[in-house]
Amino acid sequence: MKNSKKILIIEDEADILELLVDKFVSEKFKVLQSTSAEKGIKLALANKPDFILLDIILFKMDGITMLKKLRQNPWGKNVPVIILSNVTDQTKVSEAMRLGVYDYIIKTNLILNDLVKQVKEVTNF
Amino acid sequence: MTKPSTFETFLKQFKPILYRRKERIILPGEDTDFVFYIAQGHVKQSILSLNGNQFTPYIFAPSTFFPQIWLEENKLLDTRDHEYESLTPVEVYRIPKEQLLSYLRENPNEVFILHEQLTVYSAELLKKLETRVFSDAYHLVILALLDLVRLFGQKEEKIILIEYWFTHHDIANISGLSREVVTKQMNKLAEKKLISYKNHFITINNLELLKAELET
Repeated sequence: MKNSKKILIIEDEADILELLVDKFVSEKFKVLQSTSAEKGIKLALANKPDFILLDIILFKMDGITMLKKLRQNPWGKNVPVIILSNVTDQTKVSEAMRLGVYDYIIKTNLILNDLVKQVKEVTNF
Repeated sequence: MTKPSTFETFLKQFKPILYRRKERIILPGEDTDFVFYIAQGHVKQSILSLNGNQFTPYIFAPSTFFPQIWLEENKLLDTRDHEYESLTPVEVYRIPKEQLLSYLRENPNEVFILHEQLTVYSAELLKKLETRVFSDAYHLVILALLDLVRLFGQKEEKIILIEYWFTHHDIANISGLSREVVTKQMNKLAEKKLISYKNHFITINNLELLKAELET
C-alpha cells in the first residue's frame, strides 16, 4: 500500500467511529483514529495525515479548539478537514468555517460512499 | 468595541443559513423572492451546457449579494438558466427582496455598495465572455486560476498559494472544460514552472508570467 493515503478520524461516538474506520480501511486508506481531541492532535502532528475527519463535539477539548491548535501549526494550517456535526451545531460549524474547513457533514445525513468520493477527490487518491 | 453598522443591524433580523460544499442554493429557472448575502464562503453562478459541461461566469466572495440583477420588473433576470451553488461551505443570509428594497430606500448610501458590486460583476462577465469566445482551453484554465487567485490567493514570499483545496475537477467545473483537458493544461503550466503544488494547495509561482500567458 505504498500509495495509500493517510486519514485521521477523531470521533467519540463508538458506532460512528467504527463505521468510518471500516469504510476507509476497505477503501485501502491507512486509517488513524482517536476518540479524543488531545490524542487526535498528537496523532495529527506526528503522522501528518492527508485528510482529517473531526467531530465537533468531543469530551474535554472540543473539535473547534483542536482545529484552532491545528491551524496554528505550520503543517496543520493547510491540512484539509471535514467537520462531523449534528443538526443543532450550526453556530459551531460557522465558527469552524472561519478557521478553514474543506466541508462539514451532518452525521444523520452521512452517506459513506459520498464521503469517500470527496476524500479521494481532494487527496487525488 | 465598535458599533455595528446599520447594515449589520438590519442583517441580524435574519437567521444565517449554512450550506455544505457543492449544494445548490438557487436552481436554474427558480423564481425566488429572496436576495442572498454571503457572510462566509464562496458561491458560484453556473450555466450547464446541453452536453452537461458546467461553465462558471462568476464566483461571489464574502460580503457580496447574489443574484446581482433582481430589481427589474420584480423578476430575477439572471437566474433563468443559471444556478447558484456553494463552491466552499458557505453561510448566507436570505433576505426578502421587498425588505432589502425598503432598507435601501431608507439608507440610499448603501445603494453605492450594490452598484460597485454590480460594476465588478459586469466587468468580470465581459472578461469571461471575451476569453470564452476568443480563447482555447489553455487560456480558460489560466483565467480560472486567476479567478481563484483573486478570491483565495495568499502571498507567501514570492509565490501565491490558492488557499482552498481545489482539484482539477473543480477547475474543470469553473472553466467549462472536462477534467482530462484541465489536467493536460495544468501539466503544461507545471512544466513551464508557472504553477506547482504545495501542502495540498495549488501554487502560482509567478503571477505576472501567468497573466502574460493570457496574451500568448
